[in-house]
Amino acid sequence: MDRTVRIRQFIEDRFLVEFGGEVTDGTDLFKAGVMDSFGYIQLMGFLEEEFSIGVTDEEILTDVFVSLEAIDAFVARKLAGPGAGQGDASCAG
Amino acid sequence: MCGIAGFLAPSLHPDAAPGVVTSMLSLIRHRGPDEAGYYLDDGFAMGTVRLAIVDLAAGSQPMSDAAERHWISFNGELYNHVELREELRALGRPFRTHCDTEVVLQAWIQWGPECLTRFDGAFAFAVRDAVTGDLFLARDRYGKRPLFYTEHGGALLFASEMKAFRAFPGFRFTLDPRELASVFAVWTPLPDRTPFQGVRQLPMGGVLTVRGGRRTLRTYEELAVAAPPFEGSEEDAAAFVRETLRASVEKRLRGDVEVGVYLSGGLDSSIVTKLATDLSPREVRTFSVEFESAEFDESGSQRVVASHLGTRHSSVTVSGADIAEHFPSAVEHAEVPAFRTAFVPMYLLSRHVRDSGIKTVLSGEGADEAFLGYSLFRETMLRASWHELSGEEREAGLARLHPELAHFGPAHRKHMAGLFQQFSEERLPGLFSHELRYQNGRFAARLLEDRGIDPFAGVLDLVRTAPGYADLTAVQKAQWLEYKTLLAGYLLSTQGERMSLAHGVENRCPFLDPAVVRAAASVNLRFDDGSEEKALLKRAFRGELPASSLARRKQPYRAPGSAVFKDRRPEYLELVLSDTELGKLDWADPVFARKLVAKIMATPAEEISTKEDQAFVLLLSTALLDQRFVRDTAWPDASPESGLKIRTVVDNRRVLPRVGGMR
Repeated sequence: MDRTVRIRQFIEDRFLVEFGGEVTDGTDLFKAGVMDSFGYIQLMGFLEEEFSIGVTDEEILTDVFVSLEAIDAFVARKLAGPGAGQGDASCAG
Repeated sequence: MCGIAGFLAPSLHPDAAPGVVTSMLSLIRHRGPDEAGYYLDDGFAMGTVRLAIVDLAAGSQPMSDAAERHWISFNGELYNHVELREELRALGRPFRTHCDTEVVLQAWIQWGPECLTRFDGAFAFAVRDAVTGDLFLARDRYGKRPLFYTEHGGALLFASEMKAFRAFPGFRFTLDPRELASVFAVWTPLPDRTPFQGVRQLPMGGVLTVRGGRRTLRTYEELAVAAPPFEGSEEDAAAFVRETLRASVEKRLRGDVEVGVYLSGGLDSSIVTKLATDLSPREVRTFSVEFESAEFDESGSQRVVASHLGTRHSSVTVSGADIAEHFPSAVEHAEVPAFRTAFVPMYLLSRHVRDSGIKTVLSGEGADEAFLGYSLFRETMLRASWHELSGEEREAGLARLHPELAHFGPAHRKHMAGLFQQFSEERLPGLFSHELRYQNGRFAARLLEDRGIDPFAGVLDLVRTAPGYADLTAVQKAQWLEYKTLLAGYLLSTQGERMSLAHGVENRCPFLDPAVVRAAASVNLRFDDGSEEKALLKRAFRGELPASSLARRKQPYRAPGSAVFKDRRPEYLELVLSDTELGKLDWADPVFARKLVAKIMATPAEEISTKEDQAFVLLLSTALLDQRFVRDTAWPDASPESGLKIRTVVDNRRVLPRVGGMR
């Protein structure tokens, strides 16, 4: 399944929203009342496990995790860059 | 304890007034089953249902002064009535009874509304001046006793519980989506609001004057969460706190009936129990809720304290089935949406207390707000200092917050740091302390059909206009908000007063004595950094309570939530399960409501998050209110004959209804 679709589906199932209506890919999910602390931890766990990526202490302190768009872009960068899954590591550099 | 109700209705036909006021009283007769009485003058009626506590024989209401000019309907207790009586007597005021109601009345005549700041008590009352026609409504400074009012067809109605309005000709309840959004977001109604259109509460510390058809609402005392720092050693401070609390409990043990204690097993109610056993001439009885489910049960701690202090202890065991069975009745007494089910066991506990022959109980409410018991305060301090802390300090702070919650555990600490980073800047002006909690509220506010409503507009306005609020520290702001919302709007009301009074039991809160609140404000964070909850309070009672009570961390009082409805499938669950029923809730977004209900019904309880659980309980309780307050226009037991023991009737009407009909 496509990366974006997987993330979107997780958020829709967990947070009872549907993207495309009042919640869009760019919506701040905190401000929209979609995400809370428990959900945020679930989402981070999902991303790390599902895409075998590790999020560093520095990355977690930036604000990339507030919208679907930003989350998706971050995962895409991680998968493409160094330190991601093994397949990615071989083509980095 | 009592309930009051009345109206200022110049255009109501005089023939109708006695029937209307007695019907209003009969709808709240659970608050005062011992006797009832009412007073009438031209265009005005008010009455009281009374649970006799002080001066059982002579305290009938409504009561007047000897000249029969000032009339009072009083709900509550004045704890410093002995001292005030002496002061008033010295000023020449005459007394005919030993009842605290008369002290309130004489204080009113002597000092006018200025008397309110002298009162230490839990009260709400109405005073009618028969000469000028002025009407005054007043409420205690923490909002312990309720008082609602509304306008209907040119009449002003008031009552201890809103349900009394049903008896006024033509009155109908309508849910107000704007207020519902605020309740869902903030968890409770704001101090002067209710979920119903046009129905207001008199806010805590408020006095409403109706003079010549004009209404003026004024705050007679602002909430003070700041105080000059305590001068002296930590040991002196502990002794000061201990003595202030002792005096508070002593005042609350006055009265002519036996007083019991609600013992949760935590620090606060254990302290109250300890002081009550020291000060009471008779054996103290303690009462607790036990849960069938070990996850929620605290009976172990309760028994340790009861046996250590030698109380006569009894408890009521509550199951999920009990919660499901009694939820609708408890909601009807609460009259406002509820975000958790924990008030239902308190409804069952008060029934048990009443059946044990006790009319008055002490409890530990207010301690967490005054002495910084909630993790919310530590969380606020951590986020407020976030940018000054090192990575290690942040981790250590996070580790201390919720050791009981898995998602705050070591495995997720890095992610939690990311979350806290996001909430380290204020987004909602003045609400920094509550912004993380309000995320749950934002979720629940999605239950509202109208997405154009800002659910935080009301609370933002409240803090923006509160005198002195901007100058408070982050933690003091958090306290202020807790006093104004969760404490008054849920703990003292839905989970406290309304559940106790459902069975005619009066609750008293020694931690909510103005002297105790002041003492706490003067010692908080003076001798410790707040990382240990209620450190000074623990120190004050070290050696007097079982070591385990002092050592254990605060365990929030909780009850099983949405799972009980899913497991028991009570009939009323149809209100949210059926599309037809959901469609009748004109304020609700059916799509989101359906999704939420479907998830709750299909997901194992342990995978339901707090915000989902809360949103579901809010939806179900509001659907019940909609069914019973809005759509059910035939209120079943509003007949004045149903059990009212009318003892006092005063008819001061100059325009008397004609006997024998029209001529």
